[in-house]
Amino acid sequence: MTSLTSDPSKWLDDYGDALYRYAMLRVRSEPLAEDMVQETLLAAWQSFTQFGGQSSVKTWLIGIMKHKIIDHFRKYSHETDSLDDFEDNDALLAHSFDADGHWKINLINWGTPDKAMNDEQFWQMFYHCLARLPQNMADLFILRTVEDLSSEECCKVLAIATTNQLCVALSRTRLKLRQCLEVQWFEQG
Amino acid sequence: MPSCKEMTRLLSDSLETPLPWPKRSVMHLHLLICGTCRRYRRHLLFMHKVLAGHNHLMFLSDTAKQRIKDSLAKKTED
Repeated sequence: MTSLTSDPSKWLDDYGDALYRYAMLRVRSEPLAEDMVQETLLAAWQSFTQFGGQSSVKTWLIGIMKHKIIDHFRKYSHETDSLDDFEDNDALLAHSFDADGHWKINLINWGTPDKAMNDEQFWQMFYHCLARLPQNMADLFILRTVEDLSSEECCKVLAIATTNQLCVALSRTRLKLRQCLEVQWFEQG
Repeated sequence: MPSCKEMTRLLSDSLETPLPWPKRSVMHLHLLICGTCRRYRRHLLFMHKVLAGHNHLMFLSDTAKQRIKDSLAKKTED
């Protein structure tokens, strides 16, 4: 075992930005996200003896932050029904495909990402759509696309048993997020 | 040939891991003849690109880092 140190300020230097991004995408508030980084590092320091090194330090810290975020939503929101919900998918499938599995909706041309990327209103909508996903789905999408956690690490953090289940969940998440963006943003523009 | 519904899964998986060639070839065959699935694929890539582009705009400021460091030092001291 090499340099496993319980130095929160080193963790902050190495993983602070990653933790901050994750928190920002979920809670949409800079001061709150900063507080969550601090709380996560403190909790990690306090429970360092339980860290057995089975996962990377980054994955371990993200796992702790995930619980901080869940606690936050438990305290401040009434949406408690969507914690582990990967099921709520049938209605969207029925809306999108006919009995033979062909598209029965039109997909709008979204244009290039560059324009949307610089549009503050687009980001508000993107956050809004992320927030409407069940928590596990939002975590999954963020951890895979932003933090680039490996499938195995994602499974560990999100308590998903197999990579196959992870792929199913990701496919549903993308379908759902796409639908929200299309209806909320592109159909309006 | 996969249906469009099955294509949503294949296209999503193809962003995760290189698909084995039989799956990859039926996927590309379907894409050749199906404009809606081509567009779905573009939408998936779009969502990844905007988020990845947004990514490096989100980081802790130096003052925030220092504030957190000071506070952690105080709390882990005793």
